[in-house]
Amino acid sequence: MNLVADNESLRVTGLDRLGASNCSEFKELVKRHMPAGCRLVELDCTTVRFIDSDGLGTLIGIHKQLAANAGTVRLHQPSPVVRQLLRLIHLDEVFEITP
Amino acid sequence: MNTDAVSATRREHRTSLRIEAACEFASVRAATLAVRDWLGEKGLLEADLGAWELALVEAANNAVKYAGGDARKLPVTIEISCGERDIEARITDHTAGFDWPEEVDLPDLESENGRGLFLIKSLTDHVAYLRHPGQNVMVLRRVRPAATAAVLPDVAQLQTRLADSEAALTDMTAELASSYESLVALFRYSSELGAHTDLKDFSLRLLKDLMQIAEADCAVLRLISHDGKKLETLLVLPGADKSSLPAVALTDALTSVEVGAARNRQDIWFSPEEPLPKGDPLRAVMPVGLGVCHAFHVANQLVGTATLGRLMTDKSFTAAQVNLLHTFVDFLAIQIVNVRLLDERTAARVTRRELEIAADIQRSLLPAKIPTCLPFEVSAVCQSALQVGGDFYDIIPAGDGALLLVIADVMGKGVPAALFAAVLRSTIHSMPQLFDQPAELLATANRTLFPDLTRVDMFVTAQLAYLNPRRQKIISASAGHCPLLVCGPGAPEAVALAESGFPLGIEPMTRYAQIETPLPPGAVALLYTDGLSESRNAAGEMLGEKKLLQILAQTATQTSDVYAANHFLRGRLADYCDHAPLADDQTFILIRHTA
Repeated sequence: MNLVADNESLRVTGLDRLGASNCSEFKELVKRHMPAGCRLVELDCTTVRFIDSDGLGTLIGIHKQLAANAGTVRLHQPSPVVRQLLRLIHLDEVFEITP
Repeated sequence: MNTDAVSATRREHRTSLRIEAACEFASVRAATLAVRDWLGEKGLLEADLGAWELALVEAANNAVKYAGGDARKLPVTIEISCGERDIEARITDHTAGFDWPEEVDLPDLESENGRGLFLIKSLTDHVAYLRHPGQNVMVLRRVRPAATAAVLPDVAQLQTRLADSEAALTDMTAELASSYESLVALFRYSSELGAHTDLKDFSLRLLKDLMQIAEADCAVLRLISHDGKKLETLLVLPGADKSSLPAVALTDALTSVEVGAARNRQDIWFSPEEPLPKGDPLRAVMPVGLGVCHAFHVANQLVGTATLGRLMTDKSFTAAQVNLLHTFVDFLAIQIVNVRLLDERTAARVTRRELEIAADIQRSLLPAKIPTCLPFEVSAVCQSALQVGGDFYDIIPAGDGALLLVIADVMGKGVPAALFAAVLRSTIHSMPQLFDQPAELLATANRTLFPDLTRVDMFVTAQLAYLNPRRQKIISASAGHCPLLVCGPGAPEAVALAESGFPLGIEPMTRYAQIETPLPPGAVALLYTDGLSESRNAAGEMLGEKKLLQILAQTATQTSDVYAANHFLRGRLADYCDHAPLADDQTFILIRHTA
């Protein structure tokens, strides 16, 4: 996994799954790399094969933190399976999703 | 995960798998992946595999999450059974358990928890949670897709994926076409490597190909000058006069990106944001746009620079295009070095051949046989140095048993000097009536040869000596040549007869003094070229006329005939030079009056 921050955003790439077994570590890393006043965390989903409810809960936690700065979580090109999951639990209304 | 517990059995057309995993997230995660793989082998499609994976993960995570105390030491068991119509999973946990709610709702959008059961329910067709003392079993069942209507694909998604695929295909096609073009070009250039092609033509074709394949609008090729101090323009494309781009000194790193690239050995990019420096000569041919400059080397030596430019500024060169620049230019560098080596080899071959020709001419001028002129004995030597010079001697029968001795040194080396030596020899031979008047002969030869010698800015030093057997003296004249040396018994002391006029080819009306020198029995006389008197020893000291006279005096007293004298003289000269190779031709004629 690779985290690159600039002034107002953090871009996470190279993640292959986000679930109960790694979401705490993920959350910790994102928090550590997030720049002050961060308004966007973009997760490159092109490599993400799997997300479970704990993983989604983690993303919601990050989203809530960003919302304080009118920011959001962006999911970049999630796979059809992940996209379907987001739609199923209406989180496609919460996160920004790029096609 | 206890892999030993993995088993697959066939029962009533159903296949099953059982896995025990340690009560921790990583283990149950591995177990669910193993189940997924197993289901994949049963022919389930991706959507179904994804649904089962997620449902099992959610169920197994709950089994871990809510296990407390000693229950954590007990495994989470996943059993799965695959039939033709459906698939059933049983997940056994050792938690306190819970009552499956009648309605499973989603929590608030902002909630970070509480979606697991909703997902399990949504992803399966049937769920049951069976509570037992000490352990609970969640039963999940899902109908196999073959038995249900095919799920309609999401049209928007399909369109997006189709568009993505098309874009990827277009990119790949373009890249493939570009790679193909590059390869074809490179193969073509490879076939020319080592051949003696015209460098400019080769470079032009290569640069044009490179521009086309790398989609460049302009290009500049510079090569390092022969003195290694400047970058000189070889080509400016498209079609600009190369004089529009003056050479740049390698010290101009601040004002020339080409020099900068050459000195720092790294590509330099320029664009409207980072323009070419003020005063950079490249501005004349690349006034706007962007570009990249690359310096190329062979064996650590700078060969030149190549710069590609684009007039449009919205599209920078890609990494692949810059790689092309490097590859093409590497080919060019090899070819340039090859051509230079070939040129040098050819030049060396020409020089060697020229020297061979000059040596042949020089040898052909020498008399095949020395006529006798008793009581005088005559012996002569012409030893060529590595660089053939214009020395020659001649011994011509002059009637009544007399001889005309000629020794000359044409200024210069190689074929031109040898040719003038030949002309001088013929000129002298054409005037037998003047053989007994060496001064007049020299003056006439000078007038005859003057125009030709002046035209090529050459001159000749020469000495003529008339030797009449009936008279015990030498009649000589010198045109700027080394003095005649005489010594030995009968001659009271060594004498250098130095009276001399201009060399031939300096002044057309020169008159020469004619000198008569006695040569009593036992005495020796020496006509020589400066190769003798200017021989140097190991310390670099020149032999000089005085020492040469001393050697000649020893020659006269220590030898009894002219042949021994010749041998003795050469031996002493070689001794002086420590037998090193001759730096200059050594030519002399030795005359001895036999007692």
